[in-house]
Amino acid sequence: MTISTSESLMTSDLVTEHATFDGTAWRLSWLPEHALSHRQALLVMQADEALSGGCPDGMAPAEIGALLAAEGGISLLEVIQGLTDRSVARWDAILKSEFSQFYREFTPNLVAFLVRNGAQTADAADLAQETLIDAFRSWKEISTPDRWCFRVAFRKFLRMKATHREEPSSDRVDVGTTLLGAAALGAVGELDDLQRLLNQLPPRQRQVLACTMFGFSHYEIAASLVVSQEAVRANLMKARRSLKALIEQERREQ
Amino acid sequence: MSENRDPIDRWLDEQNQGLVEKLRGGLDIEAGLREALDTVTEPQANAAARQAKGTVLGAASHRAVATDRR
Repeated sequence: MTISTSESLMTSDLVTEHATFDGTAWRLSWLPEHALSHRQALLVMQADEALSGGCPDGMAPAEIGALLAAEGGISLLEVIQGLTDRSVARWDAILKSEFSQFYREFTPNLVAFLVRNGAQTADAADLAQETLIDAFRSWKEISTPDRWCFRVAFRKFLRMKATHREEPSSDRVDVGTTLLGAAALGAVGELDDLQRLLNQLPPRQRQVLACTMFGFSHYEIAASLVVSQEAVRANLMKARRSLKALIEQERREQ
Repeated sequence: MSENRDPIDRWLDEQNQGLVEKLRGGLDIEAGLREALDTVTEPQANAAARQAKGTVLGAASHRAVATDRR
């Protein structure tokens, strides 16, 4: 452990926090409201190092606590609370930054996945948003967020389909959501060639094909749909055969 | 390797890529992200504030009870 001190800066080679001299007193980067003497600031920096566990040959936190108490001005408890708050804030910022990057990159893929499964565009945007909020809540526990979101969104979609009666899309009035403003609905909601063909497949074949296109394994699909992997393979084969036939038919008609 | 893929798989990839790009342009990603961050972090911040307030109130009411006893 080394704490380097200049006239206006105190840094450690072990921890990232530091102390600065503002002309009248020393201020800690994580507790700037305390005006400290040089000795107090040095003790607190040593406490930070000791609490980080990286200097077994240094003073123990309790020993530093006793010296701080004798000096007055700041207690070891305040130092620990300040460091904890700072660590929590840093950790939160890291999580937010990671999640934000993931959200920006991945959201269109998740909405596309749900649309391919047969969700209306606005429903797909809503389900994707719900799923991503759930993902942020459990962010620390999720190791592969994209796979997690696909699985969770697919379960949400199946639940939605099971609870809502099928309504012809022409009878539905799509309203905007946070993710998909009403103004953008028209442009985004237009069907592409694949969507028109998928709409002609039986729901199970369509789901198996859509999940496969977005990287689901047969095992994952079987578990989500509560069917055997054999049934998944059979449906996938039929879906691909039907899709090829529909493409051929469209080509002949053109 | 990818050149040996079934043409239908290549077509499916192209179609999906097209849809993803269309959605990337049409979705209000920043508004959605703000909502997601606020939905999760605001209740946590409120809970922390409530807890802090509770601690302060708890200490105050402790003192009040102690004063009453005296």
